Amino acid sequence: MSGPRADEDWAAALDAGAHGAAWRCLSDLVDDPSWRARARAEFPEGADVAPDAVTRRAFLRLLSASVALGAAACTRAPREDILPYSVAPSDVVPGVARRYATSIVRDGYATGALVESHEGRPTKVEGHPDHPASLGAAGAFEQAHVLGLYDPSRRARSARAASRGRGATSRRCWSLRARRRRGAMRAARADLVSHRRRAHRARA
Amino acid sequence: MTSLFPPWSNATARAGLALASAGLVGAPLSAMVWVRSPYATGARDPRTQPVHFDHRHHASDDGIDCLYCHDGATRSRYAGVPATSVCVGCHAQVWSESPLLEPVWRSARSGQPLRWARVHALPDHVFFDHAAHTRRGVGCVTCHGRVDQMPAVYAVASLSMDWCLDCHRAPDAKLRPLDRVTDMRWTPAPHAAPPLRVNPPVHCSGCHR
Repeated sequence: MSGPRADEDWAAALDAGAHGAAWRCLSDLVDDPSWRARARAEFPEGADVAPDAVTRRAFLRLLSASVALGAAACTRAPREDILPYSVAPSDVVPGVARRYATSIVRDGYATGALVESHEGRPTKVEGHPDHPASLGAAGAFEQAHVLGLYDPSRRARSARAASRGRGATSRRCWSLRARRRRGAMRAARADLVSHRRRAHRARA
Repeated sequence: MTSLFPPWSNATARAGLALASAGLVGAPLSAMVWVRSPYATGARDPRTQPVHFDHRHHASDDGIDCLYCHDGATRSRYAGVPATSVCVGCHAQVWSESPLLEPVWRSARSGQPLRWARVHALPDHVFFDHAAHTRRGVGCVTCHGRVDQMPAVYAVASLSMDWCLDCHRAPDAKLRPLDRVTDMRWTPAPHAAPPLRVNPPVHCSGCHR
């Protein structure tokens, strides 16, 4: 800091300021060298260098652009189609569920059940009130049986067939896989038998 | 000494504040107007159908009841679009040579359904039931308009929630005798008998489940 100033100095400085640039504080007005040094050190080194990552402005620009694009994307409801039956089944009214009386076989025993079906897709299994084994009740296995009839998350075709682009032969693929598994089991069994035989012979 | 702001900055600041407050009100207001506009709701917009089907001819000239084709309207949630077999039922006898029926014959021969364009589409979170309405005296014309005068069907209503609630809150004026549900020309007689006693839901889970 410079020493105390005379009133004329202040008046001269203020007068010059009034006609010159704007000033932020008295030290700025009288152009104090120590204040100038402090003002230079206010920001850390490299503060005026543009960052190489996403800047605040670029971030805000991207943000507003995505909001604008999102708003522009949902202008009208999507156009839908209606596909009626080509030949209407006489006993189906679309939108009205049908209930069938049927039976579920588990461990060789049949239980009466009522199955709710929407346009041919079974959605719910309940017990048959007139069946002595059910009396209208259905256990967890009966309830879960609906997934054996129609499972929306079940694969429509085997993964092997899909990877080979052969949707139509999926059923053959499943049976092939079963046959291969049967062959492997037969081989393992033969292996076991020969192993036992050898062990038996060694003991004898 | 100079002032930091020139004299016109006061006016600019006031104008800016006025614009900002107008935007605060105007932005939601314009969005509300937009969703109610026929462009956004799709009302009054006849869609191109796979067959040049004319309701004026079938419903007005021939006097075929709505329920002959849309037979689910009194039995099901869906009014239903008739199966190709329903079209063929009559057109095997009448106008069977018409070239306009070519898509129908193609569908009937191949078993592939006709791909009609949906005109009245409700959001998936709305559980609308046609039968619940037609069995309580809501006429077809009340929501669908004079379909018998439309060359190509368009929606006359916005199908917005406040449109539904307008009627659900005051249903009596919109109801008609049960045997007049499919009548397009029915108007209430002056000093008519008190309408059916209905109690439509106005709570959320009445339509949203």
